[in-house]
Amino acid sequence: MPPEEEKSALEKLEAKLKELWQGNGQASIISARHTEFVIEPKVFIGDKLHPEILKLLVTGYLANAAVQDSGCGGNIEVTPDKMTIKTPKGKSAVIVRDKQIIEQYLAQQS
Amino acid sequence: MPPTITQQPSLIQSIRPQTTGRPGSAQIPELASGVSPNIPLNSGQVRRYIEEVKRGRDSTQNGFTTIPATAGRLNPNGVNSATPEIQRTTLQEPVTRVAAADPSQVGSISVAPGVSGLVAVALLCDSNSELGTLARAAIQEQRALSQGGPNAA
Repeated sequence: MPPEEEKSALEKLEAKLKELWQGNGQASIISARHTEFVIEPKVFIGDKLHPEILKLLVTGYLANAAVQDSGCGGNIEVTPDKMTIKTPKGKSAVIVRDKQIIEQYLAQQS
Repeated sequence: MPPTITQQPSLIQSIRPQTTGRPGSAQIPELASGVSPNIPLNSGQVRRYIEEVKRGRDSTQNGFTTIPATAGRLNPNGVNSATPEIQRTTLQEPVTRVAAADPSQVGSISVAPGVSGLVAVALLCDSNSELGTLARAAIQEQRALSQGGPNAA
């Protein structure tokens, strides 16, 4: 493993996302008598993000989203079935169809 | 004549690694006080065994009981003191375990087509946070690599 200063930004980002994953209790740990096996997520699969890490980031993002983020001119478009998080340029970036997350977000905004 | 402590070493020497069977395990003679053969002993049972030995109730003739290596080692005082250290091993999740989410599927969270995972991280993380900064730096890196720029390896 290369030393910290030789790591690329992508490698550092992956390490930080793994920390976030573990810190949020998402890590799979198999405990044996003398050894614990921690299953680390594969953060990026090709250029795609691991779905569980994406979920973690989305819930964190929505928890910190302000009322003005949704609605006209905001970067969150929400209906009861679908939520779209847009880039600052207005392009759809993340699509959420998880009802629980949408309901939680709507309740938080009201 | 009651046994003395000086008799102990020869009895304790019977606790030694097996030459056959499970690697890392040790054998001790079965206790007279009701421990069945071939059942791993826990530290309490090992301690009780030592007490039995001290009282001269060695029952070597009754067979052997296996102590897994996890039961720890016995120090010269006959106390099972060595608590094994837990080793942590990290495994990389197999890619086959990760299914890409379908944006049209109910219950899914997905990145829109044409948007990379890095862009999604940069968007979802506060630009002032470490994750946001790293995501932006990684995007720059990827762009430089794809353009064969000065940072290209």
